[in-house]
Order: sequence, then C-alpha cells, then structure tokens
Amino acid sequence: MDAVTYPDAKVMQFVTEAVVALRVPADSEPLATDFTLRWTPTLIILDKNGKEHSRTVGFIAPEEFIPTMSLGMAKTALDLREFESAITNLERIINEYPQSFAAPEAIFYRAVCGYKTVHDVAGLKKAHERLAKEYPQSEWVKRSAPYRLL
Amino acid sequence: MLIRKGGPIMGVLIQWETDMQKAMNRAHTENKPMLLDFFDAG
Repeated sequence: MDAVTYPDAKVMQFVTEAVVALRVPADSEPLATDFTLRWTPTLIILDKNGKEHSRTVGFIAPEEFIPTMSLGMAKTALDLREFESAITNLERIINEYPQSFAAPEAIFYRAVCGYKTVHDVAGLKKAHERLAKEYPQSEWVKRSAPYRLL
Repeated sequence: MLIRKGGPIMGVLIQWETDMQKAMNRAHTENKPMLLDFFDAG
C-alpha cells in the first residue's frame, strides 16, 4: 500500500477529502483486539463514533481504492440511514468506476436505497437485469435473483 | 515515509492520525467517516 497505492495522486486526494485517516501498527492494543485484527493490510471504515461498518483485507490497487472505500462509506451511511450520502457514494462507483470490483455490489445497494427511500420495487428488478447483462459473472447476479420475480 | 511519534504520520501527502480519540474528534468536527488502516510495522 505504501509503495503503490497511497502515493497515487487520486488516492491521496480522495483520502484527504473524504475520510479522517487513522493508521496504527498491527500490534497496537487495544485496537487490534477490539477490531479482531487477523491480517495486514486491513482497512476498516468506521463511523464518527468509532463503530465498524465495512472492512477489506489484503492489498488494494490504486484503481480499486476509491471505489472500494466509497462502497465502505456507502454501507456506513446506509447503516446510519443517511441515504443521500449512501446514494452519492454508490453513484460515484457506478458512474466513475464501472469496471471496478465494487461496481456490481454498488448497483445492488443503489437499488436497495431506492427501495428504502421511495419504495422503488421496479428498481430492484432493473438492478438484477442490469447485473445479469453487464456483470454476468458477479455473485450479485445470484444475490439479486429473487428480484426478477417482482 | 516519515513517522513522527505522538502526532500525525505524513505518509507522502496523506495526513494520518495515530490516535483513535483524536481521529474521532476530527471525524465529528469534519463530519466524515474514518478510515482505520492496520499496517505491518515489520
């Protein structure tokens, strides 16, 4: 991460603007125990009160960093029922990083936000159809499969 | 990378906090989530 990802200009800008960045050694206690650290690198998205909402384990390449962190931020916002923030982060992934690993899951959760905010049932079905067409190998095709019956 | 004990780490241009309470205080002030990075210090 230090050699490749964090020196990337877009990654630096994103981290500076979007989050408060906290970095500790893997043997730092009590945090390592509190967060059940198993391996490094582990990146965790926390809300303002320090509660975990998303984590990734393993190296993240520069081109995957922003969409991966945006997905974590979206899940945090969704958990807190801050739907506008969740949608902003999800649409960043969908529109700006459609080839990223996070994109199919972002489409799924964007539809979830649509249902939770305006009860958009049709959006769930459309999300499944889009996932099946554009990301046929993604696990999110199967996870959204029940929506094809809506 | 330069590491300064007791204060922020300057990882190139990213300003890393090293203390959870300070990070939480900033998160509240700046209304942002936090990114916690556990790294292998070797």
